[in-house]
Amino acid sequence: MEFLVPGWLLAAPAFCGALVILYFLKLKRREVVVSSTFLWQQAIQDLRVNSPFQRLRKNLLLFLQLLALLLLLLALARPVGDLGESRGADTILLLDVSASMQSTDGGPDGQTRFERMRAEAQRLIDGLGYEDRAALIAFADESWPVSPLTNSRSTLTAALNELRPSDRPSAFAPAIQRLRSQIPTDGAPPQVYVFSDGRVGELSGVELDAEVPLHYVRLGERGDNVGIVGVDVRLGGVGEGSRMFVSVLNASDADVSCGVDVYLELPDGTEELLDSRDLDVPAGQIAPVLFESDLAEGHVRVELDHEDAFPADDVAYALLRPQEALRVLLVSDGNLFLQRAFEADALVLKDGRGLLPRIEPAAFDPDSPDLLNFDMIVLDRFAAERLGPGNYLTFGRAPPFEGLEDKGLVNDVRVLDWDETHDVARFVNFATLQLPTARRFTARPKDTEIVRSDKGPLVLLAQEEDKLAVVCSFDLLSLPVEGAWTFDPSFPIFLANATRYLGGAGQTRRSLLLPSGGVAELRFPPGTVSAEVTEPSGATRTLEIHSGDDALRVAGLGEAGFYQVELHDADGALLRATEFAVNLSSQSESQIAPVEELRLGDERDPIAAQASAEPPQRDLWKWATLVALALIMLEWWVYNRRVYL
Amino acid sequence: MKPTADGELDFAGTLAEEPPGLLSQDFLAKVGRLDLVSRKILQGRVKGEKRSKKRGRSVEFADHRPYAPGDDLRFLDWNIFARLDQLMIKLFMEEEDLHVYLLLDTSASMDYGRPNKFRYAQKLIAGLAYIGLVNMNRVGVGTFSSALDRSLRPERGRRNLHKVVRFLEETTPGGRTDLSASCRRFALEHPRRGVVILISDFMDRKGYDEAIRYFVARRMDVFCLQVLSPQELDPPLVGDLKLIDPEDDDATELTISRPLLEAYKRRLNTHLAQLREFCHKRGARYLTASTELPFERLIVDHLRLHGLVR
Repeated sequence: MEFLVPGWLLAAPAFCGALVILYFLKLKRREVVVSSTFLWQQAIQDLRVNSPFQRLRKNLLLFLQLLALLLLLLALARPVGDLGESRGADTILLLDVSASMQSTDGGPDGQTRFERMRAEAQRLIDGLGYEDRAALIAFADESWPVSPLTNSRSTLTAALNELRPSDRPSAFAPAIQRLRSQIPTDGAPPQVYVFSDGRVGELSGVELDAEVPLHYVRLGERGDNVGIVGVDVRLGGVGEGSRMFVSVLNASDADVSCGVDVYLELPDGTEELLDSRDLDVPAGQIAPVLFESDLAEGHVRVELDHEDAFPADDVAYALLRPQEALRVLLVSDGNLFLQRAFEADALVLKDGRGLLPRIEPAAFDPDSPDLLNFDMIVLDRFAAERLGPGNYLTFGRAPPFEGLEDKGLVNDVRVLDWDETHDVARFVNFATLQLPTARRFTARPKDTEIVRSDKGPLVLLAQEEDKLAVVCSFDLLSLPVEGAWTFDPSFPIFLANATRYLGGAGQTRRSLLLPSGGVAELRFPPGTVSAEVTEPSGATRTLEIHSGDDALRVAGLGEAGFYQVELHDADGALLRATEFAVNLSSQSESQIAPVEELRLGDERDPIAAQASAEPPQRDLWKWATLVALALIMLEWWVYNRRVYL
Repeated sequence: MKPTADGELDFAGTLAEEPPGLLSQDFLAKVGRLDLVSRKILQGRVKGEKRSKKRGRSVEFADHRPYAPGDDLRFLDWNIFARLDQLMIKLFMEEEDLHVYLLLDTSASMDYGRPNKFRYAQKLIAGLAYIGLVNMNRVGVGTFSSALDRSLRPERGRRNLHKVVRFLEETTPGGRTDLSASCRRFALEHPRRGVVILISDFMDRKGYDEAIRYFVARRMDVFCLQVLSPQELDPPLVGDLKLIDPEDDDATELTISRPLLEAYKRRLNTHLAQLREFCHKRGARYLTASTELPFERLIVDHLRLHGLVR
């Protein structure tokens, strides 16, 4: 028990002394002459003899008054203490393992918030009674159970010790959702302790029953931090260098000057300083910095030369990789538009004469293993009876996908709208596309319509097993000569978009840089059945790829750094090896100043932070006052009945 | 009795509030035909109107006794001597006058209550004295507190009433009570047997036993009349008080509550019951009178009921 105003207790001897002095002052009694007092004296004697408390009689009133006075002084001293609420109830610990918990302001000697959290949680576990049960739930941007509800302290301790901090951002909603699933519908709700710095993302809409006792153990003290909150790499064309953008946030109250160093990791494990810049970042602002390099390939580490409490966001990783030329095969009996447009695309691989590889439709063999070498096959006015695995761009005919039907030619087709956000339609103006005729395809529900006309889909994305196709229902050679779309700048852009989309070039660039906690989507060559992922820490895991998967999704990216992925076929042979970099890059995580209160929904009052995992300190002055009042009433009763005592 | 509206608790020294005059003409007229009665046959000094145990020369035969030398030969019963050959002396009832001793407690405790106990006792003494005097009894009056203060020699005849009244009116309450010493002294000074009417509140810390025993031992016909005020029977006291005993200035500090009042009443009832029982065991008569009861009714109704007057 602690006292907020302990001075009143120090004054207790003076008050008690004054009371005792007052008590010894004789009561001024009214004098009354009676005929004789001897009967009165006998009556008093009778009462005294019959009283079981006659020894206490003289001092009982003084004792009661002293007790009441002490209790009132106790109430004035504002005692706060534990009423033992957590005893006998289940306890659930929500443990924040997001990146900001790596801040080194958790305690003395550079203890991190995470280490402090573990110590506080351990203290709470140690303080549980033998009948008390506890469960551990960890959360960052998602939540997962660490230990089920158990009264085994060793199990809880072991689970706590295995917990590691992550480089993920944090979000409270998943944790509360998991918590709600563990709260019984009947019986006493568990005591819930949230160990966090309060940087838990958006809380509006996160609701928790107001009857669930929630305690927020705040971890961390400082808020001054400078960190990298964004990294982007723009790769040049084939044979060109690259540019890297770095965004630096100054979350402190003062302007900061710091250095930004870029290191290249060498194959022998050492690093080489590539570039270094000095950067002035005003308080609360984000400052960008651009690095340009001739380097087209390599593992790059960006580091802030600045001391703060949160080192995890002072480093970022980027992967530079030369763009690979895309191999495109044109299956056509002759289409100059397509031929010229593809040959003008620097990313498309040409033969020694600068020509696009082309075969006649009659020479197309879907079972030819050579077709697997092409990133994309363009079928111009060619209705193949069967297609092998691969990516296709078709004009004027539908690919032989089940359910995708060709209803024949329709006239005077007008473009209605198109999905500008789709990678295939970006920066393309289909409004200039005039179509005297086009074929009418019936799209399946799983197909994605990219361009729609009044007669049906004009461009759609269709998939069947290991085949992916961008299907155009119009024939480029049937377009009117005057004002033809094939002469419009949109045409080569459309082809370039489709080539990069189907060839995977855009995805490859995006998949090189990922935020922590995100999911990497990687395209894989046909025949891939498994992928081995090596994390920055060296830990590996194997993922299976099933037939029908459109992409390999690598989740659980909790660690910043370089991830390596090896794709294997059924025989275990390596088909392709790829890499990507994961960065924290989160503005909310770099704002490390701990939050003083959690506001959950509209029904609950804000939950004030407490410094440690002690049960909440209850103000006890009301209880002391109530007991004092009861004592005063007892004293009054005794005073009126004291002839009995 | 409840406290008065103004919270008055003090009922001591209320004698001055009483109207003057001890006996009224109405009272004298009412009790004119009453007479004092003794349950015992008592001897008197002169031949009177009461039968005496003293065998004398009256005409009413009482008994025989053997002759002893020196006896008056005139009272020898010769008929017995002739028949039984024994000398027997004839004893006759001798009629004598009745001695009535009226003893008044004048201690300070009697000056209490409303109506005042002392004035009430004075009136009782005066009334009983009047009844005794008009019936030719010898009436003696004594007042006592810590000792026998004053006494009036037994007189008879209506003409002595004014002496008694004046004697009473000259008496003032005060001093401590000592029943034992006072009664012993009175018994010694008045050896003639008779009716002793002791009027007191019997509030004597040393007790009343010896006092009554002195009279009983002298074969007096003792009548104890205990006079109490309503304020003693049901005290209107409450709260934190300092009770003062007027006789010895003893101060008792107490907080009067309902339980204490009940304990007081229990103790008072015990005190009255013990006195009553003590008197009955010793052939004395006893009566408690509240000063609320008009003293005329006490004499005419209650004392007649108890056989003191007829």
